[in-house]
Amino acid sequence: MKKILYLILTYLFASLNVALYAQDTGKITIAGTVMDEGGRELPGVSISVKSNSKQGTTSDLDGRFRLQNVDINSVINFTFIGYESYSLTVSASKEKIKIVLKEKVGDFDEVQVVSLGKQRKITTTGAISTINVKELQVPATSLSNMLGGRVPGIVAVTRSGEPGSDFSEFWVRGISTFGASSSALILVDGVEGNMNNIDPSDIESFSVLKDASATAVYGVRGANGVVVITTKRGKAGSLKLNFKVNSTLTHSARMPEYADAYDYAQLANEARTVRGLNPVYTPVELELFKTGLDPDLYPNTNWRELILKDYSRYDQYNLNISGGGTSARYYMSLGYLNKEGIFNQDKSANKYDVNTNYKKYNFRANVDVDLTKTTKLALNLDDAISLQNSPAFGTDNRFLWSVQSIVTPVNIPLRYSNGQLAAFGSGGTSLSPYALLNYTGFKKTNDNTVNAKLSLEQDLKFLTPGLTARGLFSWTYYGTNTATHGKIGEAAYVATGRANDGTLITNRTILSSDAGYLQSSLITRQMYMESQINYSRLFNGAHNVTGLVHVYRQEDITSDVNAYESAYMSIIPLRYQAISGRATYSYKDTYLLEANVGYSGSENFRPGEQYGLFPALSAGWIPTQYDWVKKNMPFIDYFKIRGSWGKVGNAKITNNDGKLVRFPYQTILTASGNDWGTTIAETKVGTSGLKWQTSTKYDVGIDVKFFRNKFDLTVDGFLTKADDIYQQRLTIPDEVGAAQAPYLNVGSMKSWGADGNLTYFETLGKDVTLTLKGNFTFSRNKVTHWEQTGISYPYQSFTDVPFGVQRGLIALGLFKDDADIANSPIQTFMTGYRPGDIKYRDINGDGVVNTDDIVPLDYSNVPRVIYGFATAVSWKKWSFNVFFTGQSQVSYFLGGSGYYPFQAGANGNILNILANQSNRWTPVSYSGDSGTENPNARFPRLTYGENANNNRSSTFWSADASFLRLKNAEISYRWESDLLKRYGVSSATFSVVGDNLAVWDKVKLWDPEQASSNGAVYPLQRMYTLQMFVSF
Amino acid sequence: MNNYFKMTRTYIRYALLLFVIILSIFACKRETMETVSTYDPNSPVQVATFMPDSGGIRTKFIIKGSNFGTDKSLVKVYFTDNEKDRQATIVGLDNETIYCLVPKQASGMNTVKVAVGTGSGTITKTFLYIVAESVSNIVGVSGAAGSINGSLADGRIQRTFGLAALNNDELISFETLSNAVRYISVADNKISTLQTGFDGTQPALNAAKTKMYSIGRAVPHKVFAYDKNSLWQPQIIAAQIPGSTGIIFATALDNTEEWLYFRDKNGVFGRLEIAKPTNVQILNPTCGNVGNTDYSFLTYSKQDDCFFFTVQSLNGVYKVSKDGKTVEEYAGFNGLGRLDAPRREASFNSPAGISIDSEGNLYVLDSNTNLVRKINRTSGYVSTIAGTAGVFGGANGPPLQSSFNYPYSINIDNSDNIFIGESWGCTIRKLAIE
Repeated sequence: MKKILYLILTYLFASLNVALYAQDTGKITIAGTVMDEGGRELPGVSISVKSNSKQGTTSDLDGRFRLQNVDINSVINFTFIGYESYSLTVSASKEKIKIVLKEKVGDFDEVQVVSLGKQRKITTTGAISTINVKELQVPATSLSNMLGGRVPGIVAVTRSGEPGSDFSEFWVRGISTFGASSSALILVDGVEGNMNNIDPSDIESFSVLKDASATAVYGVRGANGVVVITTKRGKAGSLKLNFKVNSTLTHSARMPEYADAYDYAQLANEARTVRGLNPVYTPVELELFKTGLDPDLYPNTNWRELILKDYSRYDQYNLNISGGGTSARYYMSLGYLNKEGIFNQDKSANKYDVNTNYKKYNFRANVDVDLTKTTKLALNLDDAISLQNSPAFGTDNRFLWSVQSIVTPVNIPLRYSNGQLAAFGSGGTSLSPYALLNYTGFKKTNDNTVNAKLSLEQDLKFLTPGLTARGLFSWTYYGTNTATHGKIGEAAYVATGRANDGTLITNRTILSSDAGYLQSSLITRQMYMESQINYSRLFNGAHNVTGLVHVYRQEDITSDVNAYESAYMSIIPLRYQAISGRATYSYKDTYLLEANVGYSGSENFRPGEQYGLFPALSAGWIPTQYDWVKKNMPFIDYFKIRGSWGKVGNAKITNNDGKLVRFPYQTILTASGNDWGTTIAETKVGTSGLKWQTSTKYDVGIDVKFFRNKFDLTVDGFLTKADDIYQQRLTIPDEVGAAQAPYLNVGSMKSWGADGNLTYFETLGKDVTLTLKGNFTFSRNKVTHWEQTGISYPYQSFTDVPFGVQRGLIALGLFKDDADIANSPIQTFMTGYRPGDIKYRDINGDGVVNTDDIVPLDYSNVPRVIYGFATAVSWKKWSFNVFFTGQSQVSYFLGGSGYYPFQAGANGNILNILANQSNRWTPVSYSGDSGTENPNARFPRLTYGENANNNRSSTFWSADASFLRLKNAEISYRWESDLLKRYGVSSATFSVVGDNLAVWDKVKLWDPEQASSNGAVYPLQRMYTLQMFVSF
Repeated sequence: MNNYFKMTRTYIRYALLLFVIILSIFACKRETMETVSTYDPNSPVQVATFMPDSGGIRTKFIIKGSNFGTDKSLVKVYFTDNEKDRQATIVGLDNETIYCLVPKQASGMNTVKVAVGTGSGTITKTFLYIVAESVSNIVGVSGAAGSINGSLADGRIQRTFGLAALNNDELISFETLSNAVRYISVADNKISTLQTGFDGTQPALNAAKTKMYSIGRAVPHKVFAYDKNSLWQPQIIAAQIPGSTGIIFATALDNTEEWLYFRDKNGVFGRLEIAKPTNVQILNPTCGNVGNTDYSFLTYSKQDDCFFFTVQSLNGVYKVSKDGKTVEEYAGFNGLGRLDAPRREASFNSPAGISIDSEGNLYVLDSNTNLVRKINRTSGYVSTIAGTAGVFGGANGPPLQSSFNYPYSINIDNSDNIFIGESWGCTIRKLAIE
């Protein structure tokens, strides 16, 4: 990287010297072409010499100009209506100089990326959120991580901090269907792509299309919202080079804290004793834990200290160049990301790396060529290569965390004093976290996504003005290869005691094994073709008409035989095709009308019934266009009210394993042997009359700017009704003899809510600007029909409750005494429950508490409310940004190994909060203090081993996962100076960025956003970054 | 560009500095917490209490008190029973705590004493030592001969005439009829064959239990060496022993571990130099009476620096000096019997295998009446410690209720666990008296 930069710097130097040599005395001649950023020649540009008002010219029809006899060091001005003026100081004669004028963009002309194109922002009628691309330049772990709290309408959660798996899951306006897919369509330059493969530096625009009018044209794919990303393209002008580097230190902000050996042993004894059993540890053993005199048999091992680092590094680089002229323009970018895992590997154990490191290389080249004055060819090439490294054990790295929750400090040391590696668990058959990390070999996953897009655009103004046609072909090739070098590098032992002379007696319980080699590969190919005809024309300066007809076909094929319900289906390409259209009309930018229609096909319906028609209508009204409003309500600069209605279809069906079901109308017959010989039987029952799953979306919104554009407000309210959601029909009597429950259009659901944002911009004095921003997303839902059998009580139904709502018993606290137990309904989960155990409400009043008393509780683990607010202050060349984000109305259950105390006896860590007496209920008979029978204790009477009464989902263990996070704080300085310019550097920006700096929440034990029941997950990282951005 | 790198460097430098400061804070903390105290000879060694109050051998034992220091080599803990002081193994200590293992001792209320350097401390509280005794099965089923490898439950063995106890419940057995040498590990739960085609006898083990030697029963006597570092793979060191024309049933090493001693059926007592196996010295051609059966087992006593051997048909145990010159009737020679009495008055019934524990006590197998007899080194008293006289069986459990089926080979490991191999019974058993 460094070398390349030196090379570039040297080159720049060289070119400067050449310029100096060309110096001449006296008069000089300047000639060249004036063009806009798109490379279009500008005729009629006024060109004047500042020092000599008599000298001057205008550019000809081809944008060319020539000025002769100009004084050295004159300043030449280029001015043109609708474009920003440009000044050039000339010191030597130059031919073929390129002058690029930037178009002036007022609020009125600002364009917005919409479905299949761009519209002027002022006239859009759909619900579209855009994000300022500058906000995406913070050093986040991936693009998806930046959306939650930044984009109104997006509900996002991040569950893991592991490099390469630390992407956020997100939904546009929450979950609106429980059908096959509830996630949004991601379009990169018009073609389905992977958001996490994009280098944020390459993004030109980022929009989220939320309502039906914005997404109808995408047909089946756009049912759950669409994220439209466009990448940067070359602009005419001399070579521009940008270089960005991020250097980050990360550490785990929060992890569960476990009790040490002595506390653990004391609590284990309490857990046994308070249930009338003998203590686990003798006083001698407790003393040994306390004094640490026998680290072999009575260790106090802090596994986190042994296998986790305090800090790890992330580095990110991006280098991009752009430029071009009237016939071709280019943008090229090279990105590199290196994230180091948090694991502290033992370098002496292996020569290879076992840390969960993640590396990514990005390459992108966007080239535009003007074949003729009216024909444009664009070629986009991009490649994302990622390398993920990890220990060989397991299918993913979750075991590295779950084992930390299981192995306790008293289980085993890392190695016995005789040098043998220790194993733990029943029979000593489990490897320690240290051995799992260091001695199981390594695994490398190598992903490569290549995409090529070729598009051709023809201006058809010779037919009628405003008509253009465009065709696009895209090819995406994704390959992944996982190579596993698995072994058990060293045998592991369990200590059973000591011989008479004190030597440790160990049994070998895990044999070492030589390295084995395994690899798996997978490729998928996607072919996408589209063509569209666009029409856009303004009649009489008032009637603005646009039209669009669009046809596409997408074909996906995979080598993964497990991709679909049946293996044979992977041989058949998965195809989507649709034709769609749009017409808009606006009058004087005041009255806006838009109609969209999509005619989409799906293979899931029998031939002849494959297409569905999905219309959408929207309208807008901008009263601030009236002179009366402008005169009488001057404080309102802009006001738009808009509304939309539309239907979108979805034909995806997934089975219980999450695999796609294809051709559900087909009945499959299979020959099989039975008592009557070989017979033919139905193994799959085809469904005739299957329909589209349809979402009807309503949206009403306003866009307002007031007080001299200082305030900018957008608020939307929405309602989505998803009908005919596919579910397996369960309410079929057995007498029907169906071999399998068929898929039918059964379920329905509705979701509603609001989202919006408010921005306040103020200039305070000459050098200071202040921006305050806030946005929120509120999304609720309710299942209106869920196909289900076996409901004995209405509250057991999944209908009429939010999707994914937590279900559990209602806890009434802890039993006070035996009388309390005697006077309460019988709890059937276990016999012999005692005071201090959890008391539940008998919901159905049948006198017993059992699983029939499980009710839907408050929320699901996906938040209903997401919000974010930011402050940005800029002072001269300094800027300060602070960004907070939060979520609320979300809950999940705590529990499992490492949370429920002693759930699995000897295995399972104990949180150190349990050692605090106020957090647990202890009978007075054990503690001798009646104050320890604390009715509000966080943990009930301890049990050594499973307690079926306490350890189950109930409000007792429900966690409120609301939080407010200081997501980001940044200080940056922009450095521009003549010194830099002398080296060809136009500016350099340095920033210090802190990410995830603080969280205010109620879970407190680990990050609430991870929604982990026991904290056994790769923690979300806190990051400190030094960033540098240099433009040449 | 350079500026950036400079800045990065500074940044890293500051970060490092910060880490160093943080580290040093922790380091300081640790130092102040761990007040390292050494033994002060001018202050008394005080024993405040100990726990637990009772237990058996290897019970984890903690003594609380003061001025113990931290040097294990300076500290000794003694349990004193009605006989003598028994030194405990110290596993760890800090100035206020000693962690040790209760040594083997006589049952009863015994006293505890701590000696540090020149000082010592005692406590009036006494420790109740409880002797634990049991016979258990290692491998084989009583009366079911076989040669099956695998888990110890599945494994079957032939008649065992030689047994080496290697510590940690690892054994090597020498089987006749199948002429096989087997390796048995309780920890790995397996029995496997090390060698075939060799009718070996009671082997000699070095003190470290890393080297083993066995002499073939019949003439010409082959001699094999086995090394733990070569995973006990056999290596022949001599094809014959010149001068010995009778069957040999046992071999033993003396304290130098340079010579391999034997006494053959004809009464020839001699030795072979391990480093030079052709060097065979006949020390005494008529070492004890010969008797009319083949069986004569030999063992070396480190405590007495002499050898003991049994002669089956004479029902007695001989003691012989290392040079072979002095031979004395040590115990028995009172005809067939099973009388427990002082050694010269006691009677044995066909004594075969003989072995010695860490205190120099002898253990002798009465092969035809299925008893394990002990000859106490200090008192000279012969007692029956396991087996039921005249009963042929495979019962495990309390030693005096257990039964054996022609026990012939015996060997004792460093923890004084007694391993017994049977002839027709075809089992290997463990007798633990602790």
